[in-house]
Parts: sequence; structure tokens; C-alpha cells
Amino acid sequence: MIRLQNVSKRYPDSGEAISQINLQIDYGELLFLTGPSGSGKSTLLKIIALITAPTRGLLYFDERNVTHLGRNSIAQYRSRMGLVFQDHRLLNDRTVYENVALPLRINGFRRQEIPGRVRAALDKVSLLHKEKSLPMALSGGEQQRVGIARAIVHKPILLLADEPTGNLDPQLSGEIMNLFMQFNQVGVATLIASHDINLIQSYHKRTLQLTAGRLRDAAVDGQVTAVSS
Amino acid sequence: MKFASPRKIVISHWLYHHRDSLNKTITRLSHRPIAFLSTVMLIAVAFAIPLALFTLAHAIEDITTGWDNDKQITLFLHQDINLDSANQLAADLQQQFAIEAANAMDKDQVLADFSQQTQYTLMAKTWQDQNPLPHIIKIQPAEQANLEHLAGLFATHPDVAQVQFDWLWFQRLDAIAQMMTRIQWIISALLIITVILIIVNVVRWEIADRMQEIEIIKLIGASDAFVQRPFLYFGAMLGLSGACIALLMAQASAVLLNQAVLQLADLFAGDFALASFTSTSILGLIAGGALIGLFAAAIAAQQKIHTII
Repeated sequence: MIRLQNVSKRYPDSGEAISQINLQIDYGELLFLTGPSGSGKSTLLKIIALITAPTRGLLYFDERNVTHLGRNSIAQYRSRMGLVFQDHRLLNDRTVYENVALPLRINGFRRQEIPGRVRAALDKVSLLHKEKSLPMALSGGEQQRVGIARAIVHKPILLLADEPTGNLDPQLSGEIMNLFMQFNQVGVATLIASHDINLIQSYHKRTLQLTAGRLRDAAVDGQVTAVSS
Repeated sequence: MKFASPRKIVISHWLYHHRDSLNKTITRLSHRPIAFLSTVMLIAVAFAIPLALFTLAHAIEDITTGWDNDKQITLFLHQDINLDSANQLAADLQQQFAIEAANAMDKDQVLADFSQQTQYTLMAKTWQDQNPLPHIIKIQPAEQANLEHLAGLFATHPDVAQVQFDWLWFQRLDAIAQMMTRIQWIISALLIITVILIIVNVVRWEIADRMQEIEIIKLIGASDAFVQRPFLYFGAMLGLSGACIALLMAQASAVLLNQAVLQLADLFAGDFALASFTSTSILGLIAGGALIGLFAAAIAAQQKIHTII
């Protein structure tokens, strides 16, 4: 589904963030991306989401080169994905319901369909009772669950999560990870970037290791194997 | 490369999204009524000035157009010239000079016309027993005639006591009216540019104020068109509201000034007043205001939103 070919990204003021990355993500796959802070995890996710363009290399979606799409095509490309951020990125002046409904409005869902889909997504993250609350009235874990509900409400084919448990305690982190596992089981390909190697290893999934911008190793079921040049 | 949208967007959805954007824009504006109204008043004043100038220039144009058909020279004859001699002189002048018509007028008729002008009615009544006015000859010059030259020639005739010739004054007023029309267009253009700049800036501030929200919406797949839509409605509503209030201001000004204008018109024997706006012009002005607002908002949105993620 997603293929990166020799992708590098250089920022003018901080040098090369990632270098010569080759990576394939298949439909329905779940993989972790780990590495220390500043290793390039967020940059890699941003390139996949076309938030930033690679300096070199190519990005393919279903074998179509999407590296330099036009602005409208980028919006359509992103609308096939769900993005989860460490800082939740919720609209604080809108209710939980309105936040979760936003991708449906953007994607042109029928007005009549929206309430049912929003409530189903909120039910999956156990926040149906908070639909009328404002994000600021929720705990960090609840806000992250709202962010996840917003990411999955329009049934994306790829879920990208950047440090989704970064601000949460171990118990809440486990609950959030379990949610990702549930969505992956119904076929949503998922890429989770996290520096918490202990949490990742407990799930026995394919793991990519980024170190100083290079994708050096991978672990499948906890076993480290080489995957890229 | 184009990606198929995950959902087919039909017209009803499109209308729903527009209605939704409009509702959200109105809701946001209702949360900041003073900021919105002060901007609208600024726009309204900028719209009202050209409207008032247009109304005034239109009225003056009506006057000078009317005078165009009235340009004539009046010869006041000496008191000892009788009506038969006046008629003979009129016929002689018509043969000798470039004039379309020359008609002698009995002094009693002159007094009757004079008394019909309201400000002279009382004076004319006191003259009824002993009319001090002479017979006159009214001359309608030919189309291309040099009026000043003709007036000079008539003044030298021994039977003529006085030549009344106001056309030069009319020409000056006409020139002033034409200049006013040009000034009105220039001021209108400058003020419309001002309105555009005001709306561009207000929309830019609004976008800057909602930058974080725009970033989030774009990250979850919103197109530039989707993001721009509320700002376009915002600009259109500023322009539309400004135009509506400007119309009220211009109409109120016309009502306040009309009495003074009527008095002025009476002095010049004219019959005009500041015109009210027709329903077509009202609709045109309101639509024009909304379009100007939309245009300005589109400029601001294009500049700002395209640079975000």
C-alpha cells in the first residue's frame, strides 16, 4: 500500500533528519517505529502523511508516485488516513462530538450518517457519555481517546500515530495500545511511532528501529532483523 | 494525480456543507458582535460616501441636462418701444443672425410670468396697475451659434436696453458637474479599494487567530476550499452588511438634505430633488457589497491558507 524508496529529508537548519529510507507497509499490517528522540520518527510519519516533502526519494501509494501531489490531491490522500498525535490536536472550542464528526464532514458523509458513526466511534473508545464535553474538561487519556476516535471515525485504510502514549501513565498507555490493536484486527493498517520499547515489545509485532535518521533494524515478534540498506 | 474521494459528494452534501459553514460563521460573529459591528460600520462609511456623491452628481446632472434645452438670450427693450416695433425687430433679427427663433413678448405677459415665480409674487402684485417692465424679445440661438458673440451684437442695437445671457454661467456649472462626476468615480474607486483592504486585513487576522484550528483541519484531510469557505462567508457578510448600512446612511442623508436641495433648486427655477434608490439599484448595491467582500476574503484566504501545511 505505502512504499518509501530511498527517502531522505534534510532540514536547512538541523541537517539530515532521515536518510535513505526504504519501507513498505501493506494493507492491514501493524508495525511499530521506535528510536530515541530526534531519530527521525516524526519526520518519517510526516513524509508518509505528506505534511512535509522528502528532499530525495519517492513515496508510493498503491504503486502510484505521490511524492509531489497537488494541494487538493494531498487533501484527498490524507482523508484516507487517520492521524493520532501525542498532543491530541483537538479543537478546544468544539465538543467531543464535533471534534469526532469533523473528518466525516470533511469527507462529505451524509448528514444523517454522521451521528451514528460518531457515537459508534466514541463507543469504541468508551467515551460516549462525554460527547457533549469540551476537550479541556477531559483528562489526558480521555483526550487521546477522542483523538483516536476522530482518527478512525471515517474508516481510514492507514492509521498513523506519533507517540500516542507519550504523555500517559503505563496503564493508560496499555489501554490506548489495545485500542490500536482492535482497529488493526478489523483491517486498518497501523504505524505507531513510540520511544517506549518496553511497551512495543509486549505486542510482538513488526518493529522498525530508527537511529540517527537511518532505518537499521527491525524486530518481528521481538526478534531483531535487518530490513534496509 | 487525482485520488477518488472516499465518498461521492453530491449537490445536497455540498449545499449542506455551505449551510453548515454559513451557520458556523454567523455563530462566530454573534460571539463578537462589537468587533463585527465596528468593522461593518467602517465599511459602511466607506460605501456611503460614494453613494452620497453619486446621488448628488446624479441630481446636478439632471439640472444641467434640463438647462441644455433652455439656453436662450433675452433682450429687454427700451420702454418707448411698442409691441409692433418689438415684433418687427424680432423678425429682422431672425433674418440677420444665426438664430432659430426670435419672439417678441408683451410686457403684460412678462409681468404675468414674473409673478408666477413665488419669490416675486408679492412684488408683481404691487406693479399690476403700472407695469414697469418693457416688452422683451426671447431669442433661441442656433445649435452651433457663438452665444457670447451674438449677445454682444444685440447689445449694440439702439432699441435694446439690456441683454440677459446666463448661458456662460450654465456652462461653468455643467463643467463643475462633469468634474464632480469624475471626482465621484475616483473617490468611489479609492474607497472600494479601501473596503477591499479592510476586509483583506480583517480576514487575515481572523485566519491568524484560527491558525491552529486550520492546521488541525488540514491535517485530517480538509481541502483548501473546505478551509476557506467560512472565511469567504465572513468576507461576504462584512461586505453585505456594510452595503446595507451604507444604503441606510445614504438614504438618511438624502432625507436630511432634500429640504435644502429643494430650496436651492427653487432659486435656479429648477425642479429636482435627491433621488431615492430604486429596488434594482438597492439589490445591485447589496449584491455588489457582498461580491466585494467575497473577492477581498478570497485574496486573503488564498494568500494565507495555501501556506499552511
